[in-house]
Amino acid sequence: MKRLSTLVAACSLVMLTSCAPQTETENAPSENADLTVAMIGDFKMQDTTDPITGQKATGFHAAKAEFERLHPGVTIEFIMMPWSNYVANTQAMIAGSQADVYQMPGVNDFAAQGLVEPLEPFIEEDDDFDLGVYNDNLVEGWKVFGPDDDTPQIYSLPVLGDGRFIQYDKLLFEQWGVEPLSDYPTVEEVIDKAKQMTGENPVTGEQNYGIYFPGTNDTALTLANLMEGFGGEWGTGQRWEDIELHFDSPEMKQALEAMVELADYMPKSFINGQGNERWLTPSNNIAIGINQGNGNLKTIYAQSLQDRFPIVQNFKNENGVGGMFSGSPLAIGKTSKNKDLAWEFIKFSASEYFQRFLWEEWGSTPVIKQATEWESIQEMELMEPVIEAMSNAVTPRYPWASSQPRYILQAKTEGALTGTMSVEQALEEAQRESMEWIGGR
Amino acid sequence: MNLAQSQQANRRVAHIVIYVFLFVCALLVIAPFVWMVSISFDRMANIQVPFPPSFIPDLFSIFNYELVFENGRIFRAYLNSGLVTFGSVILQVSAALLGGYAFSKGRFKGKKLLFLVVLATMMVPIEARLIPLYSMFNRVGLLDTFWPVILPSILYGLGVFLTKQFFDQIPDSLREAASIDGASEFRTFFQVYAPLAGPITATLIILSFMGNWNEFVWPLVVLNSEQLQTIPLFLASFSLENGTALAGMTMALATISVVPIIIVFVCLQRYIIQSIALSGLKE
Repeated sequence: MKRLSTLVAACSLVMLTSCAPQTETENAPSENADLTVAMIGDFKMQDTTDPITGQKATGFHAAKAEFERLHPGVTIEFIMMPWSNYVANTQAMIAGSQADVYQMPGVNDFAAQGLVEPLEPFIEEDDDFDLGVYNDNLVEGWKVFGPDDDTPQIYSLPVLGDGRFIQYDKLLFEQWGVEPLSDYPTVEEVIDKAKQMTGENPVTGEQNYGIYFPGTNDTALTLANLMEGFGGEWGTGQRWEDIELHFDSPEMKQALEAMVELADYMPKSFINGQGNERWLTPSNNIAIGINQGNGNLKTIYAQSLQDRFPIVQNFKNENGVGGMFSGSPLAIGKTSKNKDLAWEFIKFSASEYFQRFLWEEWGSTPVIKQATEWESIQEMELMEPVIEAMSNAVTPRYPWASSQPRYILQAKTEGALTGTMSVEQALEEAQRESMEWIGGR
Repeated sequence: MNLAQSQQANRRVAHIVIYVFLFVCALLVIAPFVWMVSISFDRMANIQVPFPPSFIPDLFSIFNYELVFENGRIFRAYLNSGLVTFGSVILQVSAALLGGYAFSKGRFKGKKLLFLVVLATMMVPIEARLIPLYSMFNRVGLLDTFWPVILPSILYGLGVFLTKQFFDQIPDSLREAASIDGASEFRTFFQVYAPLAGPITATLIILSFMGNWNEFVWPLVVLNSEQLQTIPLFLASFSLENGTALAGMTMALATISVVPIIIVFVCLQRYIIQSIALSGLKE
């Protein structure tokens, strides 16, 4: 009994001491840091193993050590936040001045609120820095309006690349006797080939589907890309007060009608984001995937399927441009107390060291031209069309892509795909409700 | 075949049907658990969730478990869950035993009304208490500590109800005898009734342990630091972030997270049966 009491007392003591407020956490910035950088994603400070490839990844402690080596006496801290709810998290962090540099895919809204620092003064004053290090189209893609700007300005510079593309299963094409997709396919070509490869596979006898895109998350962006393939534009303007959406344009109507037709060549459950469970695996049963993303590459190479799933470009307009510009840039918070050092980090982020670190350790697509010369890039043939996709996406980025109009368009598209409303009704409602939302901001 | 033999054969058929039905039900209940364990040992599950579902891993490996244990973050989460659960169980069970005893044997004004109030607390979900509780702990500066997770456990209506029902079965004559011997109310409780309350205490410990170990919503609101993550929060940080993309790793973590519950249940389950058996006693 005495032993039990002692054990309970000891446990209680441990519990009481552990309940005390924490003064320092892994993710919280140290108060002594000269510079704090907020990153979004699966990045970790400590070394870790990639759950897909099984390869060891060096943690951000290495990047910290390198930056501190280049800037003696400086202490840098990283805050890692997940992608889920990143917009709200970033907003809260900026409000609390918790970081100096932010990874900021939604820079459009933050710049408009005057929450980030314009970077052009830093670029002009820095003789050591050249915007030419970045891949074509990337600096342009992240230009946005600040509260007092008449033209888009540089408020952020790219750090992580991303591209959207079309991918297909070469084996299924061969089994069906269909010509591979061209490097820049048209919507008509994709529809035609998807139609041909829907049904019972002539070789294996199993059910094949001609095409796939998930009916959730990115459907509005898939629709926008199809619309670009028909020569349309999402609209005009970049500042909310200038934006005029063309969600009900004839090209958009053509695109939604094409999506409705494509639904016949997809697994029925695509509308719930299901039906592609075997996509990018040896037992795949889908011929073409549209509006695909960089994450596919790791999966393909982990299974040595790189020769089976080639990549071609998203639908382009007559100028050779199409697909949402994506990725992530870095921005300096307006409330940063050490903006010069923050600028030094942005320069560091464009260095060969940091870009190689992000690519080789964490699989993030590089944003600098020099990357195409790296052996690690050259030995992954699929990276070539991905880097190309970054250079021919629509820039500047769709300003509505992280805001309510995207979700309104998404809901209406789903309505048309499930047959609860006509194509015309869906697009008219999307246009009206989105413009009302913009007007009410 | 005479009538008796015919009835016996019918009974046997009925038993077989019942057993087959129960066996199918058991399979349905246990299948998701088995699938969880199967996926956790599948090296390929982080690349794609096995489809169609299979109970045999495509590529058997302990890779996912190595990932889960890498860097020791899970040990911290285990320790955090252990501390929170231990504190909450002690508080909950103590309060429930004292409360149940008071409502069963105590004589005071408004007892029935107060008991109804205690029962009513079972009907208020955590979502309804979230904001007032959060404001309260924010005001006293205890957010992002374990206190806000542990302290509200003291309000345990179900425990008080179960304990009262249990003590109702134990004769009042014991209390009267202790009183004649000069024992105080506390002494009567601790030396006479508490030792008899082993089965109900074990039941409460199991229920409380499972409830607190799996608690998700409230800790998610009050524990912001990664270092304070409990097991459910640690699990959610994988599954919410990656969806089904890292199924193998998520399922390995889920498997590990339920081990303590299984151990506690296996160790204490016989007391549950005892408590049910004892509840049939009459004075």
